[in-house]
Amino acid sequence: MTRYGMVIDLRSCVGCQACSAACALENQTPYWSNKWRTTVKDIQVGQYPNTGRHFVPTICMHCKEPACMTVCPTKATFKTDDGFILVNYDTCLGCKACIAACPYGARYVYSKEDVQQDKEIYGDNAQHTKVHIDKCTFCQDRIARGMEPACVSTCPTTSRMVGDLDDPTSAVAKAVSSGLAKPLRPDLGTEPRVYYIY
Amino acid sequence: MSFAKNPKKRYILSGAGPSTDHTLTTRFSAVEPNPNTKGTADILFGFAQGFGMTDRLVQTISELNGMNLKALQEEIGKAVKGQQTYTQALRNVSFEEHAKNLGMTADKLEQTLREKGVLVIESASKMREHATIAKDLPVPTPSGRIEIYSLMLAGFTMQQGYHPNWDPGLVYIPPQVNQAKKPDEFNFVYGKTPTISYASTNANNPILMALSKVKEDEFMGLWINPQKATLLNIKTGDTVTVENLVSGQKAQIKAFVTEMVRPDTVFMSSSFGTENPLLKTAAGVGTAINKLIPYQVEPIVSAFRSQEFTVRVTK
Repeated sequence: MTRYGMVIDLRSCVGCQACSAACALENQTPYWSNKWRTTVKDIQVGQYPNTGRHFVPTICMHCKEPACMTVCPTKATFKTDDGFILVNYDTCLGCKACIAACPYGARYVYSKEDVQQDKEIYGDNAQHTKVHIDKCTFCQDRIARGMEPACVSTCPTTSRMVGDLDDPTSAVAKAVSSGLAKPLRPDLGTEPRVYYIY
Repeated sequence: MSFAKNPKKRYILSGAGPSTDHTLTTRFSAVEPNPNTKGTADILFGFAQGFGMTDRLVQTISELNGMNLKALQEEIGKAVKGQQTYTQALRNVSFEEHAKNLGMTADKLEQTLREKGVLVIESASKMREHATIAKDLPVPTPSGRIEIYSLMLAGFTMQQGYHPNWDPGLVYIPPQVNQAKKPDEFNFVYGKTPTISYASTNANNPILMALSKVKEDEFMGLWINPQKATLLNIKTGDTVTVENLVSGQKAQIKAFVTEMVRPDTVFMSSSFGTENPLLKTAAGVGTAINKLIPYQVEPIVSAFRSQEFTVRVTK
């Protein structure tokens, strides 16, 4: 079974937010309510003239030990055989316990108003028909079709890479095994599958 | 204007791209063009005809391309009568003139290009033997040093009189800005946002606009350094008035206090502020730079001198 992981290279991210736009279009995330599955934080450092700017894309980490799944009262949040963390929209109560538990701020409520707006914009092609807690799915449907997640394929600087963490020849496995790519907040013990090079 | 169907030949002759050989190449149409379309030359001549300026356009083409005016008038005359397209007319003259220079017929030139694709008139190595800088001179100028002198700009001077903008020796023209600025006076620069990196009409894309609003302070605000912002009691989010001290134009915009800009300079994006009500997502969001930039065109390259002024920023 492929153990997909993602590596995000902060050295080459230019903060263009094409990942956010591609994700919003692919997954019909409620951009109208300023809710996104992936965002790019813009961090400015230093004082003129010694200033710097860092762009940090954020996304669901698809943790091996997901806090969001542990707290879900209906087991709507579950882990697939591939290790992806997904939400069953049919059984999700929208109680927000997972939002509180996620240390990476990767979840939001797909509200009734958002569902209505989704229907208004996308009509019969609307993907979200029920109120639920929404998050990154690692573009499951694209992965199933042999495609990269939308955020990865659209990145103009190829700052995002995806691949099999168990395949020692894959770029992501090499970046992780060499120590070049590191997870965010490893101290939390969540064991993310998204790593950062910085 | 008529449009002859099935034009066999399109485009005039040109060089061979990156090759340094002295060559001629051209393009031949591979498929029949859509009968409802026209070549660029035909469209431009259509405009010229509409303005009653066909003769002037012919003369301009002759002056710019060095094409023989009489031959051009003859071929364009046939196009005016609908006997051929304007594109074809220009091409005929081009073929005739190149063929004459090469000592062959236009038909022979076309046949050669059709068969070989490229006609090498002289290879780069051959040209080097007689047409490059002599090897034993640093530079073959009267002074023996590099001399920069533009014959084209000298031509402007002869026609129009001297002006620093077309000084044949290229001179520095200081910007029209007050060099000793007051505390509330800034240089003005502008740029793009990554979400709206092309024309500002892109701002009407709802996803890109939503992303822009995530970073509204930064993307739509006037960047001002904290040193000056403190002095002027300006905080991020404050509405400030920006006044062009050359043209007198004024605009209001929200401030974004940041270390990412020099203390003597303010910056804003050119991506927002459209007032076109049909652009429903973008209309009225942000401030447009043309509220601050006057119609001030550089006479040689027709570029806007869009940052040649200072602005006063007041809360």
